[in-house]
Amino acid sequence: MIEQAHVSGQLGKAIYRDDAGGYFIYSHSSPQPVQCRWGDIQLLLNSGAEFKELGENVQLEEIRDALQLEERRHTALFLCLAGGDEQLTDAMRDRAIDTAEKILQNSTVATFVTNRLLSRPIPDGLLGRDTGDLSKTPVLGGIYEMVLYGQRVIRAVSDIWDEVARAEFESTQEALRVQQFLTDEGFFASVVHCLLPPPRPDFIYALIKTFAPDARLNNIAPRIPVVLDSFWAKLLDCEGTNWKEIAKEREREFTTSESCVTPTEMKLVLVLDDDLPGLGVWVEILSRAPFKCVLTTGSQVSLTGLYEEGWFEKIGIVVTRDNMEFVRELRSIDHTIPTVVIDGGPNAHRKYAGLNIIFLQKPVDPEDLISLVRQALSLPALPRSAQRKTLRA
Amino acid sequence: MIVKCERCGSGIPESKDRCSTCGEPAGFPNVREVDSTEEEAALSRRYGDVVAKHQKDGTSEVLEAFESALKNSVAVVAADLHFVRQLMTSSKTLYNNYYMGVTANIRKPASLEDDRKRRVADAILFNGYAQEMVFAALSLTGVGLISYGPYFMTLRDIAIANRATVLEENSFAFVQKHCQVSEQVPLGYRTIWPKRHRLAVAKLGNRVSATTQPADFVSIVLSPAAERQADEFIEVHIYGPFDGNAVESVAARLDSGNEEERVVAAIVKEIIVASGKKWIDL
Repeated sequence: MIEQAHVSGQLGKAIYRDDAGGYFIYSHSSPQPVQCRWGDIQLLLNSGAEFKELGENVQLEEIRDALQLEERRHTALFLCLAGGDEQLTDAMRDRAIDTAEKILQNSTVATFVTNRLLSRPIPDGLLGRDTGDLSKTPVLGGIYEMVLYGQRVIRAVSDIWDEVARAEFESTQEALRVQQFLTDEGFFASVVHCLLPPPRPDFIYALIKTFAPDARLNNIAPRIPVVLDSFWAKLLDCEGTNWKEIAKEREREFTTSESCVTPTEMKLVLVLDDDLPGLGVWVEILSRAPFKCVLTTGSQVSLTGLYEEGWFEKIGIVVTRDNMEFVRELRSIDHTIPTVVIDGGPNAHRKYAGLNIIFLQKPVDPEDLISLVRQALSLPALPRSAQRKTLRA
Repeated sequence: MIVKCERCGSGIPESKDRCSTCGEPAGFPNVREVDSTEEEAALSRRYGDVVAKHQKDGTSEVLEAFESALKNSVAVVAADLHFVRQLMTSSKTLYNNYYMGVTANIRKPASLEDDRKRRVADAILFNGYAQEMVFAALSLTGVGLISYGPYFMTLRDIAIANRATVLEENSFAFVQKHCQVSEQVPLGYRTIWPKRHRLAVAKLGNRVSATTQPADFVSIVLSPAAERQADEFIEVHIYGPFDGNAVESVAARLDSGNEEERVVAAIVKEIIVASGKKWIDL
């Protein structure tokens, strides 16, 4: 039986311990796991690479799958950085960009890269040079554009987080683990996104309230709600007065809504999209209506909130991109909450059969989405009746 | 063997590299253990026997050439592309920011005693400090053991000279051959890095003859195989980890792997060359 399994996408290696006490290293390049010595482990652990813990009692197949995904994510990240690395020749950077674009067609990989690059400032010499014509590599081009455009904000958010982490966490280890969790769940990227013009600090507040109760995060650092509140307060202090006033107003609305409005009006829209720019689009549409949204890029965060934090009381409708796993899980705990799946694909009605789903195909007409949400929240219809192009499974 | 701390007089266990009382450095445990009079005397006897035989055969000149080449031998760590990429780019802040190594995530391996039976070689050779050891192979060319990976990193002499020792063969094979009964390491088979040429002569001198050409020295010192158990080499034991600055050169083929790997390899090569290190195309 395998226990203590860790995978490193940077190293392309998994290290695990079996129940007989031996340590093994697995990589795709070797057909069989190699029983390793102390020195082998030492060499890997001191290389500055990160390791992702898979938990206990996993199967080798799970390790293989996790390693493959992590490898591709880190390869894509490396190539994205190489594409703008001043140290490299133009020809090499072009090769890096072309190859990165191919890997980034996988949206999970693209999300990972985006989350990473929007979470910490880019070091000097990386992405500092003109990256040339990126029209043939739209995914990478979009990421570069967002990262370069957001550098000032990214640096500010990163500095604030570092300050809070130094003050609030008990150890560097704890701070690093929380930081990695928040990074890969898209928290920092979402914060940055919400701070870019036009700033939407109210979304950040919703985001913080989404992440604070997350059980996995609380397992790493029990004080996480306090830490996130402190982060929020420092963000407000950091920005201009106008920004602060808007944020405070939104915060008040959010926290007092239960006592001030009727039950139907207080319902929120849970928006789930692992693609950050996509999330921004849905929020932009919904907030114009205006609806109050809870944003999340991770299905686990959403499910944890629904399961354990009593979100069902507050959520009136769920809007998600094609995500069968999430929807199945959602339906296993509640079969009635209105759920909209955007871009479920041509066979979506078959795939989601019996799951009580409303579909919207891309390109989504904003009016359709708004109309659906209004119906779900039992709000009066808009003057212009939206044409619904949906298919109920 | 417990040594006395030169500063405070406290006893320092053989597995420790510093005094637990005052923190005074005590030298690297592997070097302290091997750099003993008894070990040196035993090696000198083996070395002397080989030299004497060559004097008798009239082949001293070839043996001297062999020993001379060994004085310039290097420690080579074989790895795969991912590892080399990580090591050579991890100084970039972005990666360091996400550093999540053993201290953050991975529980320390169980105590050495628990694992003694399974990994008897480490336990016998480095009792108490095995977890600190990193392994390399002695090489005359910068090419190492392919069974550990197709990228060969030559370590700078200054990075290892004070903390490396050498054992005359793969430690698994060595322990099976010499330590099964007593679990004691016999004398004369290990030495410190600056005297590696003497160990090589003691082990391999008898394979050098009047017909041996300098080009043959390479495969006499290191004979790689497809499987780790079949590799023949002199094992280098380095106390503690090393970083990218410890690497002097990297040797590899760039035409292996899939398209993604070839692109990454080419980028890694450019980064290595740009940082002033040597790249050897194989």
